[in-house]
Amino acid sequence: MKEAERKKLARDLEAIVGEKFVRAEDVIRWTYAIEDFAGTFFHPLSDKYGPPDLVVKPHSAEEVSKIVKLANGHKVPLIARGGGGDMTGAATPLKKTGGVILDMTDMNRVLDFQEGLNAVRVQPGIRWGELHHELAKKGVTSGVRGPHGFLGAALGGGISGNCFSINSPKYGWLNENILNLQVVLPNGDIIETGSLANTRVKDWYYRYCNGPDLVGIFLGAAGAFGVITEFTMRTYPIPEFSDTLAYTFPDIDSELKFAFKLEWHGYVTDLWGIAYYTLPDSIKKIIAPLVGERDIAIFATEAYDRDIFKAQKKAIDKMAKEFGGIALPVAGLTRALGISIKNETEWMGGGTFGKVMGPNGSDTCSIAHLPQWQKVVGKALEIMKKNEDALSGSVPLIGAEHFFLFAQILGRGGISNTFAMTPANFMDPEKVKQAQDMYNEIVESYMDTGYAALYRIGKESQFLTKRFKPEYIAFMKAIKKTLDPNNIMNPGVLGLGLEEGE
Amino acid sequence: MRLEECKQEAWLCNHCSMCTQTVSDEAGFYRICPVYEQLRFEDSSARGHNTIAFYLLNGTLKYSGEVAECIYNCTTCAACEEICKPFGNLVAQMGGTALKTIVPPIMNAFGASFDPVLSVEILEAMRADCVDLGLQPEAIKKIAASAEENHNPYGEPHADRVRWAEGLDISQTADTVLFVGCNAAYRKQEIALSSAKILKGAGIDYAVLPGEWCCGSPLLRAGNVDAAEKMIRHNVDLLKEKNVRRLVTACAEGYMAISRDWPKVAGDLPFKVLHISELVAQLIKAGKIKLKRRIDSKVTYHDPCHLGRVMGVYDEPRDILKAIPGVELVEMYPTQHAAWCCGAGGGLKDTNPELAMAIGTEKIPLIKETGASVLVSSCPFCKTHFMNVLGKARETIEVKDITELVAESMGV
Repeated sequence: MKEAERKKLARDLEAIVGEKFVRAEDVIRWTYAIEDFAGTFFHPLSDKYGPPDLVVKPHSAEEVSKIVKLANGHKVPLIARGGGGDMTGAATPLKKTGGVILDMTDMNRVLDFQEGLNAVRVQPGIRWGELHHELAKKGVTSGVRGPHGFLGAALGGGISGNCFSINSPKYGWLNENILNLQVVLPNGDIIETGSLANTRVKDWYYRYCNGPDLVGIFLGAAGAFGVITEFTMRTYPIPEFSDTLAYTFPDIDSELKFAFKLEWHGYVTDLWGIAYYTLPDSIKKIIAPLVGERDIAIFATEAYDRDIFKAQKKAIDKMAKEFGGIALPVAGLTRALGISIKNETEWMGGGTFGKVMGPNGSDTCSIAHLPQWQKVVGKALEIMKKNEDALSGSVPLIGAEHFFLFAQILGRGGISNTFAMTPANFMDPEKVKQAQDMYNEIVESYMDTGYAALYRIGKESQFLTKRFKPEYIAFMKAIKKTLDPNNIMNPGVLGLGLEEGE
Repeated sequence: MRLEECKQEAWLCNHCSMCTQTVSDEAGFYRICPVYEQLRFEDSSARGHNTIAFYLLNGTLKYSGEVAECIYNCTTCAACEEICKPFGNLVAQMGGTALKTIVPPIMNAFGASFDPVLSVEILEAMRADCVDLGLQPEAIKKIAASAEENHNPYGEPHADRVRWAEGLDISQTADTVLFVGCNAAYRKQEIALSSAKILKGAGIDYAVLPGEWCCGSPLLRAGNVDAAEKMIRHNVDLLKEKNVRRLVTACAEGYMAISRDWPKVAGDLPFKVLHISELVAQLIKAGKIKLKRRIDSKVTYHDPCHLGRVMGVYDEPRDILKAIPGVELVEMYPTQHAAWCCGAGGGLKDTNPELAMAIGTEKIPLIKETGASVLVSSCPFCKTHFMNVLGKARETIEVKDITELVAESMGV
């Protein structure tokens, strides 16, 4: 954008939100040219991201609406951003398009809580930790607890990115808990979905009424079809009884079958599964003497009633034994230490990623259907072993090893999230290039299984959308063209808003 | 570029946003960065500063007035580093401070660091570059010039440094030295006086050195590295010359600089360094300090960032307050490792006084919520700033340094 144009746009934006909330200096533009480090620099499009032309902080749907109308007039891209922790370019402009970042983090209030309806209405800039704090004051929980404890992440980004979550095995993904949305469409219209579409409804939150479920179009759309300015989500009572349990299994197949059945019966709140054969030798050396060469499932279970809780744990034990499970005395240990995997203990501190898991560590994440888990992970592991040299120079958790991989199995419907940790020495450009190539190969292998379907909806969507059926792509493009003819809404996400070959 | 020394550190930041704004009931955090809470754009958080460092290092950004303005808007309170600590939440739940001493050696044995990303170190390296390029704010230039000329940041004559001690007949030679620090020497002299009375009352043979210079902390925090090193070398030489075995200070800022920064410049120190709260807590336990007089007050304690988060001194000031007859200690929330900064640190009170006041003002509701009539701290900078903040807001809450309460209760 030319400087004169930027200045004119800044003045127009200032007239909407006030001078204090529009910034255009180089220092602020480059600050917003980055997301999660791995997402911005490790991924294949890393050289394609650039700074926004301006950053603006709206405070209401009306302000967002005016900004959207203004952007249409200037044909300037708009990118909504929350905590900025995305890893696939959803919250960063493309270098070639630039654009205006809408920093939504001042739209962060809890607007309404309805005890009888078990729902809370909030603005999208609210961060996970703040939401937990506010709901706890009301004696309820959101069930889903956020993206692995990154409590500074905003919920709007989670909705736009199809966030799975701690506690997803019991409560589903974040978007399964969304009831209504208020959205500013690309033409500036403000709409409300579900029960709120009815002018007579002010405080009744339901998703599936008044015709088709139009909420779904905006969930996981990475801002391609509008800017979410309010939403309602389910709330749940806080379970009085909970425990962390652990079992080992003779092989990964038995563990996966157990995890699948456990989740199917509704007994598990959150679960981490460790596949022995995927671990680096140094970690194997620690685990084998303790539990043998077996696979480990650590999980949380909870209930609202003491008797039901006791019976549930008994049923879990029976189920584990059915698959050759041997109980580990984790429950007593975690109780003694006062921790549980169902709460926020997954939040490990940002430094964990840089300094414990390996300097400049990155991760490849994949969503896989549990029965297909071995197929997805096996291929990734093969690629990592083949490219071990690419990772040398890094210092992962246990020192000598150059990679490790572990898996979290979660999500209703037998969905697992798999992390392939690929730390590399970022001080060595050659190693970085090698690691990037390996990363690409892993992601391609995930996508080729067809069982990887969650990530890569940001500007990294090429991995996903090139495998879409043509009719489906045409349908999405038709929606995009109808709603956003000027392609101003986050161009590049989901492969939308850019010309062919761009 | 001095920032080059922090290149690896800057690359380690994962940009996860927790240092920008996080609430964790489990770990006791309610929001993190005091400057971000006021300015509300990402360039005013540690994540933003680390991003700026990254782009400065790869040449995309150049140092400028804009960059300088941004990176001088920081209190160096290190809350960003606290939230960044690996496995921080787990450690907090499993035993808090006790575990913090056990876990790091275990992690180190496995070849992993337990440190957070050292965002304040990165920031201070950028400030040092700004000083080298002459981009630092005018207030910082004045402080450096005054330190050079007067050995204190206030433009006060060095000859007046021990004026507060006139008539007290304090020795200039002893194993124990009370390192007064510039703020207590020239501004909050009641803290210097209380400290001296406590030491005398406890029967400790101590000295105050008229040749003491600025500890260097205000200079280091602002990027005046060369000037700071000159101060540090002078002080270390002086203390060595006097054969000092134990240094006591009532200044949180000075305590951090002497314990942490001086050895980096002058090597291992041949004397023990104590914050006065540590010494007083020891002396109370040993029965050498008797707190005789009742002080019937509800009191809340403000953790100075550099004494608490950076140096890990949380318990001693609280032990002291609990030992004073009549004092009822009521904690603010958040507190200790998650306590909010007063707003005065990192030179912000000099470079952006309005922002510093706004940060301090944010803390008033937290103080009032405790119902305390006295706000106690153990840092002259915090005391000064809270007096300004509460005075401007016409609040009647009294602000005292912990040494004042101890001296009062000792009846000295």
